[in-house]
Amino acid sequence: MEIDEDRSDFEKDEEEDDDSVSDLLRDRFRLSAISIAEYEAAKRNGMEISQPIVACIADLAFKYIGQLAKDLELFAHHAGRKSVTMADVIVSAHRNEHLAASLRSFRDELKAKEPQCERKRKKVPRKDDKAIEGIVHIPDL
Amino acid sequence: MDKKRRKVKIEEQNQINSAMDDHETPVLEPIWTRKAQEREGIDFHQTDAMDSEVVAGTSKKIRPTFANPNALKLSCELVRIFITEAVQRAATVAEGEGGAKVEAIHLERILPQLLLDF
Repeated sequence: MEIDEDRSDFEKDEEEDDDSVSDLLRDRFRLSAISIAEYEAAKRNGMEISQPIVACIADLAFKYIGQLAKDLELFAHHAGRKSVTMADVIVSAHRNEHLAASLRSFRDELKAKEPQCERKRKKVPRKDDKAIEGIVHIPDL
Repeated sequence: MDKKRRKVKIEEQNQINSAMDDHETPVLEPIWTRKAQEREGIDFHQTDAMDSEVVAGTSKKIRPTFANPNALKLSCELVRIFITEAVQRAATVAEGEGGAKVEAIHLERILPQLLLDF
């Protein structure tokens, strides 16, 4: 009984810490989400968004990130890896083809920006893979 | 346990998103990459947290998951697109109605399709 109580106290403390950390993160994330939303709204002929809506979107995005994190961890674990790579992120966007395509182009841009002193024996420009990408899912990293 | 998993992923995302705010090419990326890499040490736990409890809490961080910096950037872009889509779709609905402000009712209309798309 005592052991259980100790453990539950410990867990409670941890959970409280987790809660406070996650609240902090949620707040910080909300700031960024708000500024992104305001910018996007202004882009459309200066439309305004009401504050509660922006807060809703921010919370929604926060929950979405939570789900995404879980998914990415599962994908990486499923592939027998310990780290989440770009391929995992692209797979997590599989539901929407346009989304996956825009992520792939973003990834290619990132790769192109990287300095030429990259990895092992492979050739540096891997833009040829873009065509193959749709058919064979090559884990790049 | 789920919260632990989310914990650091979000820490990183936040760094990223504050960089993404500029919306121009993320110039602040190098900064947050470094920060994110520091935090990656604290990354999320495995679902085998149950096992770690059984082992009397000695191996709490039995197998922390890490994230590639590029993967981080990419997932940040994903989240940014999410928010952008939400706002743009709601604004489209609002414009269609002739209003000048995006209200809850506009968000309501686009929500199901948005969630299905993401």
